Amino acid sequence: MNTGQGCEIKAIEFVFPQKVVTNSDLSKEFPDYNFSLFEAKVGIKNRYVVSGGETALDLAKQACDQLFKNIDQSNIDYIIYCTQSPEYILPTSACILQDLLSLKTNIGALDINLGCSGYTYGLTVAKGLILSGQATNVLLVTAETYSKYLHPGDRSNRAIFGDAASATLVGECSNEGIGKFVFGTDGSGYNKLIIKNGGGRNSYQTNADLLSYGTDNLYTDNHLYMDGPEIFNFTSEKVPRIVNDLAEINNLKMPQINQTICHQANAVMLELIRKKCKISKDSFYIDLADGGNTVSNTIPIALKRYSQGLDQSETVALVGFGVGLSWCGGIINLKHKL
Amino acid sequence: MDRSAFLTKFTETLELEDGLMEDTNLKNLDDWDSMTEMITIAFVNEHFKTNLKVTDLSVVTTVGSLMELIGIENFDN
Repeated sequence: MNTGQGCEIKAIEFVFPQKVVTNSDLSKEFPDYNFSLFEAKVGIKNRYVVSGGETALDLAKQACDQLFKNIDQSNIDYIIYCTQSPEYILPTSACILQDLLSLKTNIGALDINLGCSGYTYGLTVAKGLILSGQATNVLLVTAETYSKYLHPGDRSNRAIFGDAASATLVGECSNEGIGKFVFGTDGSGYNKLIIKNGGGRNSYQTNADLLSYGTDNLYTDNHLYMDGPEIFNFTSEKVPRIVNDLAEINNLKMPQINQTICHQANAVMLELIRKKCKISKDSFYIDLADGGNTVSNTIPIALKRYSQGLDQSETVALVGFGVGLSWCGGIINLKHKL
Repeated sequence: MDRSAFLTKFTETLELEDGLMEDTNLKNLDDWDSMTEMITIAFVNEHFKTNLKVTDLSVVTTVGSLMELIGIENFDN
């Protein structure tokens, strides 16, 4: 049984792949595009991508190894692995991770197939496991290699998305470090961010038709497609409501929330959300410069970076939103540097 | 907002070298794409409290037509 009264985020580590792609690199491939405006507005200077056969699970192992430099891995009794870049269609990547990390075998392990809302969903599952007395130290891992899904000619998405992995330890504590979360799902938007081929519905096609969207961005149905304008509409309308809802469910007024950390999708969108929520710049996290949009990794990366400047306990709102369409936001109490 | 102030601020926001005029066709700009559409929506929301959707911009051609969409009553001489 849970001996404490709650649970909290104890530690976070993250890794990027070694290969960096700068805006200067991309501008050589796409000389007609204004990367200066992109950098100024979208806020991304560089992103990291896997190479040489490296996978999301490889990145995940690196992030976990980094975490285990400071915590005892023998205490891990549950793995939640959030990815849309699984090692295989089956088996479950979390099971492989258990073995790669030499964790004990009498532990739970499962994958969560969610994108940008995945980290916050993962936190709620970890909380449920701990508060119900079924686990004491949950390893919550996010790992994505969207770069493998992007067509080389898809300039927009290649500029936005980057690869990364994170490892978070969620464990027991004496008071509640993870508050209440609100959830949302709208599957009618399933095709707004999708890879159509390669799953059960449509087979991977060796000679898929070359398609285009927006301003000369290329893709096929084997690749990731994002309806950027629709995702922008969804986000700019939905996220401000989530922020209000999560404050309400936690009986907080907005000024009582020290920092709001949303999924780092792009800075234009985040600025619009910030203004709609009437949150000051100091209380709203925007930092995509180094790494870009790394899907479910952006929130743990932001949390790790933000916590380095922490000198007292803070109430932090977390909001994940994206592919599905899916969203989940709530409150954590950040007590120390992660 | 004053019309000339609007044109200046919008030009700066889109980081354009040539100043926008009311008869400038936005869709003929070299940089007009989904990103500049997002920037435009955010710009309009910030200065006019008008919530545009990306689909609303489909009817926009010139800067003047964007001003009509925002509501011409929001602009002074």
